[in-house]
Amino acid sequence: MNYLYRMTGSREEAEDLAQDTFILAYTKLDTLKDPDRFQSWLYRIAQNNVYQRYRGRKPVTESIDQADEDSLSELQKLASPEHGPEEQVLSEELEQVIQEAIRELPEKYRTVFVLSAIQRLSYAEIAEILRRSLPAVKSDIHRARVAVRDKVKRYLGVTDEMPKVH
Amino acid sequence: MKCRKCTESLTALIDGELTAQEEDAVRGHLADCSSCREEYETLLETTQYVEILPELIPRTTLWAGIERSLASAATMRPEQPWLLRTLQRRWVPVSAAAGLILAILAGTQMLNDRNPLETQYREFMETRELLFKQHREVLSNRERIQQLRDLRNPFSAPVSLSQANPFRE
Repeated sequence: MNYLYRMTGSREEAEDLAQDTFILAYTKLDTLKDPDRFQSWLYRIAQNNVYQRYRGRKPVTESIDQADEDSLSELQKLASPEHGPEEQVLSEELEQVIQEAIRELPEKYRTVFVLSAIQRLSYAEIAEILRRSLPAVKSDIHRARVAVRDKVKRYLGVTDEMPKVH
Repeated sequence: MKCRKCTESLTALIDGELTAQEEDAVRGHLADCSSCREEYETLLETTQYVEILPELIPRTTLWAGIERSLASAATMRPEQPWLLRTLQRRWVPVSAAAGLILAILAGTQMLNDRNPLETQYREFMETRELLFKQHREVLSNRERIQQLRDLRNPFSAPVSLSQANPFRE
């Protein structure tokens, strides 16, 4: 669910895609040969659903203001000032900058970025999900990380507020 | 190590995806190169920001919706093939239906001819999966054996053969 949210930038879209993914997984369960690879298999279905839905166009990032109150409850709880920097909470603005940087990535970079940096999957798992070679995945992950880094660096360079990760 | 090779490996270093030897080489270069070190630090900082992005918690209503859809998918009548649907229509002339049946029979015969190949392919894939699984187990066992070999007994006292016997005159 979090993977789909970071891929689309919208809770509504992520929930819709999650529903499609589970239903498709249920109907195609007989094609899963190795139960140990269920996670990779499910990610692949989710990834195909994202690809089918957007087909080359970039998803529209839902701004914090557009989301409904219910959708925001968890994010707001996490991003509220009383948590303080000691709880490693990002400012909403920086979170938006990162989400926007992810959204602007070409799809193949966006996918490997979310799988590696957010979902914390190993490069081997990502290669298996995407059915690509390990060196190609490693190279794309680095390029994606550099692209997001450049956007974040630009933001941190123009703002006085520089949140620190403790 | 050259700067280009080093910077290409920085993300893998942060993600813990380098071998011990590669990591030593990259860290060695970072110790001497301030430019690559800065590159590493900014990438590390960005990764840390991304890692602490709040995780979206699904709404409780989401799973209920999925369950409903799954239940209806389970009870849904499988869609009939196009040919069958066409045959059920009353307006299709009997002669056309007969022609289609003949075509289906011909198609079935062709499918039967292809079956041995498909069976062989499936068997090949299953055997390959099995071999991969066994290979992974062997690798995993090798790691365990190596760990056992590396394991040192913390209670064993260091023995020095050169130590003189204090009770010997």
